[in-house]
Amino acid sequence: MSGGVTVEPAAGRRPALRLARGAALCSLAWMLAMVPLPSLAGAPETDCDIDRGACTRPLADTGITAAFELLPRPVQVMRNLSCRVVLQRGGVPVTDRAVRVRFTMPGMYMAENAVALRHAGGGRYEGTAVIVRCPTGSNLWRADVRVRSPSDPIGRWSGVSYTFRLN
Amino acid sequence: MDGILFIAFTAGLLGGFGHCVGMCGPIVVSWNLPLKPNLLYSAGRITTYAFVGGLMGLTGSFVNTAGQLGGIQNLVAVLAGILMIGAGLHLAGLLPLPAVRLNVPDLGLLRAARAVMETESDWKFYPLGVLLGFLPCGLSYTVFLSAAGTGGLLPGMATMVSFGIGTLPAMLLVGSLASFARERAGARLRKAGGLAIVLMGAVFLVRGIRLYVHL
Repeated sequence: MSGGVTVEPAAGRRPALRLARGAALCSLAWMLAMVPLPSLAGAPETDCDIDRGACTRPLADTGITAAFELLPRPVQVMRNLSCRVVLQRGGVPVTDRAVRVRFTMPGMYMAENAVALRHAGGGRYEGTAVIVRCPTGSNLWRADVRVRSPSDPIGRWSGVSYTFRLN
Repeated sequence: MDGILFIAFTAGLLGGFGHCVGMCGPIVVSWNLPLKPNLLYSAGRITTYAFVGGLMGLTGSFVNTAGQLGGIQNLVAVLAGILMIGAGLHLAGLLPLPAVRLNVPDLGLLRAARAVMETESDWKFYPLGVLLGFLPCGLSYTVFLSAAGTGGLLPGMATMVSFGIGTLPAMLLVGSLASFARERAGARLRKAGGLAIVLMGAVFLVRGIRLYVHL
């Protein structure tokens, strides 16, 4: 008894014509797929050049400024990144806060990617983060920095966001 | 641990409708997957998630494991595009698929191989799901981060199985709707659907090649 695979030819007329039509269709599809589509929703603007250095912004209703940065630069996806937030009020380090950073992609649900930062001294909070690669080529990300004071009676979080593009 | 499983399941459930339908839905649509083959395809996908999640949990490193698997994932992205183009051409009537017969004894594993390979069998969608479970995907990458953080083989696997189960409702719904529409579509609509699938396959193919060459 002999084993193996038998491939039975498909029935049909004019296979060469079908093949030519299929090849033409594939060529057309390939050309269309190579054309970058304009964003229908309008791309959100970036407000932070993450490869240039820390981005500083005030936290709402606290009088605190939060400087956010990712290292090493240039920032790359699928790498362990050092995520840093420096908190200051009037130039004085703020050292007693709980700080979390959450990474999201505007316009695309990407599940929860959050990192809790630990105080490393002088108002600098640090942790390790990874920004994942999106196979569509989209490279716009938002970091939501959330800060909570231990003295807040109901544990409210103050927040500020940074929108940046990875090149 | 329970909290992570719940979060992973929720990520799958929300991501299924908010992410997978748009990103991986075209794959399910292209192969006419009613309930049983769709379940087998998803079981294959979840098997791969569990395998990779277990690896990441065991090593405790997302970045290293993802780096090791990167080549396979990029290849699968290219293959997915080619398979979709083939399925689209077949649906449009431009690529008649030959029937495959395994001339092997009807025993044990060979019987299983026959069940998988022969074109009428639904079981061929399980290995297809295993293969396409490696497709690079931002959503699954994010959940893999949590799996790596569990620090163990079984917790890593459980995290990804929970995620995969969460994605089932969306993927089953898309597959069932597409199958329903395909059964009722006339010849012209089927041809148009085939052409659309070819175009989507080309998008997948271009995307996969870009992962290689960083165009």
